Amino acid sequence: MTPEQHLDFSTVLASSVHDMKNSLSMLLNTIEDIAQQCDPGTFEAEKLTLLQYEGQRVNNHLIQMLSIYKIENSQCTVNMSEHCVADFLEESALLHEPLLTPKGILIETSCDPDLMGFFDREMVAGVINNIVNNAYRYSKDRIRLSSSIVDGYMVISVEDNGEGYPESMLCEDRDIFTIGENQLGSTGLGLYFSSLVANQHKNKDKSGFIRCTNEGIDGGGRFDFYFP
Amino acid sequence: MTLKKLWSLKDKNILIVDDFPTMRSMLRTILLNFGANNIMEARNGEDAIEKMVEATPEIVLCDYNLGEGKDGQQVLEEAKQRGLLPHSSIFLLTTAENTTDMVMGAFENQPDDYIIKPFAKAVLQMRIRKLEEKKEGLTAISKAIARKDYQKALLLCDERISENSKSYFELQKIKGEILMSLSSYDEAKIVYDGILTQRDIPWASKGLGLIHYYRGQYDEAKQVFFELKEKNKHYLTAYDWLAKVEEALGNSQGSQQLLMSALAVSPKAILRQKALAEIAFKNGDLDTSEQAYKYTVRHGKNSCFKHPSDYGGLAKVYLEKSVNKDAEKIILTMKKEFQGSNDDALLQAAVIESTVYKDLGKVAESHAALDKALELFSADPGSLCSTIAVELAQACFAADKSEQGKELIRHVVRNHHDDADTLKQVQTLFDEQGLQEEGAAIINSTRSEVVAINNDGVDLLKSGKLQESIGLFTKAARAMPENVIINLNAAQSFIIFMQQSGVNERIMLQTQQYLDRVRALDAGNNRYKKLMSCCQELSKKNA
Repeated sequence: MTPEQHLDFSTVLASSVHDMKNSLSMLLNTIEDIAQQCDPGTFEAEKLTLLQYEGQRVNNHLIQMLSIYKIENSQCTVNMSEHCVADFLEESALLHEPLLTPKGILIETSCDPDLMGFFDREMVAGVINNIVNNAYRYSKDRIRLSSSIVDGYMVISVEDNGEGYPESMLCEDRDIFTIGENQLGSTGLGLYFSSLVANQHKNKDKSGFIRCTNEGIDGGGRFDFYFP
Repeated sequence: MTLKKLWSLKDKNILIVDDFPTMRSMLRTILLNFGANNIMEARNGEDAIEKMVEATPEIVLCDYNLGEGKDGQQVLEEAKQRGLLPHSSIFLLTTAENTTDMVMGAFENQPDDYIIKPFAKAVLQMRIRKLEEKKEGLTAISKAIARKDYQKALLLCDERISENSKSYFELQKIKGEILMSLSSYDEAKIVYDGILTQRDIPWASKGLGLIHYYRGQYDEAKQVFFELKEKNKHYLTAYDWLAKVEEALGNSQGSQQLLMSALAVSPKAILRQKALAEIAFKNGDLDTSEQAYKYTVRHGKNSCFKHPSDYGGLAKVYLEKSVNKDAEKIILTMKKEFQGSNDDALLQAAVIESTVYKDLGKVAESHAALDKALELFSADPGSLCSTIAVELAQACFAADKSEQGKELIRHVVRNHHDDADTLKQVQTLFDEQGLQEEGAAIINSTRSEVVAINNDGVDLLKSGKLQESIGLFTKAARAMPENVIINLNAAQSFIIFMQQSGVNERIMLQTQQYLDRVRALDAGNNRYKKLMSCCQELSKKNA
């Protein structure tokens, strides 16, 4: 390769992410192995849970970063295929259970086992894991993943029983979520990502959207993802 | 009350494919935890195929990115093509990033599921369990398809659809595919239109486009595939079909452009490279054609898509470019590559060798290759397809081997005694040799021969000598595999047998094989449709 031939950034990004993900796989699995050997409640178990949580956060951010990059460069079209919603929610619960249980948070799912939905499973999983990761920090002791049909949309909801979203994060409308840069933070970026992904989901002439309210358990935060 | 059996992977044949040794051992440990005791490992695509030949895996965990050589999708393609992976087996693709938009829709065969790294053990376990359940639910249908009992498969689909099954779309998709493979376009259209009123699903639009294409409604097909491509930039199948439609409409430049755009996204698709090579040659774009043929030859080498015609095509490009040295070289490579291949490939290679040497002006080599082709033909005349037989006959006439040429034409006429176009084509061949009258006589006598065999069989059938009739028609169908009427009569004699003595799976399979041949040759055949509905009645009675 001559010095003038630069690799374009997306190639570098994709290839680095590939390697980072392999490393993360090893890391998270090793932590999980060690955690299984520990007695619950011990100092070691607590620290390992923290490691797992942080590892998953790194992973979520990697997914977010690459997806936003791809969406903004129009390299990415969502791959809407049919999935069993109950299985999807259960997977997310299974993923987070080892982190939530030691913290005394109960994660539950409630969904019609026969409900099928059309969505990009990986991208939406990125969104939901992000929201659950947030709820991990703010919930008192409960998180609920559920699904319903509203006005012809399939809705996936994440609720907690914490203090609720701050005023600036609440949104009801269908537009892309935006917020002042200084207020963005992890939650704000997560919501921006969520609304981008929602907007990419289209069927006929309808697009997906998100809602953030404080209609969760006992007035806690509630995140709704509407799929057309 | 019995206890629910605990889920375990005990005694399942499992194959792990990953280029990272640490990843393989990690997966192995996870699977051992799920009770697995029968795990094979492969470090790349070639290795994976070898392992699958050794033992059919029930579960394959294959990484998409395998470094040099085949990727995970290509492993799947090859395994499916070569029949190494039955319907009941699970193929789970693991990927480091969300490459699904690249993978899905780009190829004919799709993995049963894909899972993104890093994944939690519990999630992997759940995926495998759910896939096992799903496969189990569709077992009866896939078994019916495997034994070509399409009517039974359709009945089962309808039954499950009416149960309001949660696999509604999956079942509709399978139903559509079966109907398409049976060329039952009216019914397939009902399925796809029904789906599309509910939602935009790429496979349903594709199905609709295919129906237009096969019916020769190219403008309508163009519109459907164009919209599909616009809405789903990564659904590369839409590009492939749009390219075919453009070619059918006479726009071979546009066709080439489309294939090139699709290859820019996914360059590894061998069949697409081959399609590009052919259309670029037609367009006189020799550089593009050369490059695409080279890719096809190089990457097809260790795959099931390896074909003598790729080497022949490349040789033609070289001849056209007047680089005779390279043309000869590629022919030598072809000979080496196909040593010990099956007779079909050897025969085609020999025909190509003979024509290329002739164009190179090397008469002795050309004749030697021709003799070899003729030798292979006389060893097993039944298997030679008519297009190649015509080519071979031409080569024979050019090499003053007119007796052999005539025998080959008899072979073609036997297979197409009732097909005016083919008969005209072979008559022209005779005309070119100045053999008008002799040729006409050969064609006529060969035709009468076939008609006589056919009449004998029908007479036997009418006089109730069913066994004799079956014997005669199966023998005739073996010798004339491309003869529509012989195949129809062979199928009919079996159907009558089943109507009298009951349905038998083995006989049903053979009947379907005859009908499959007819469909491939003449999909709109009326007698074919009638016999298919007879099979349907038989299946219903049997169900």
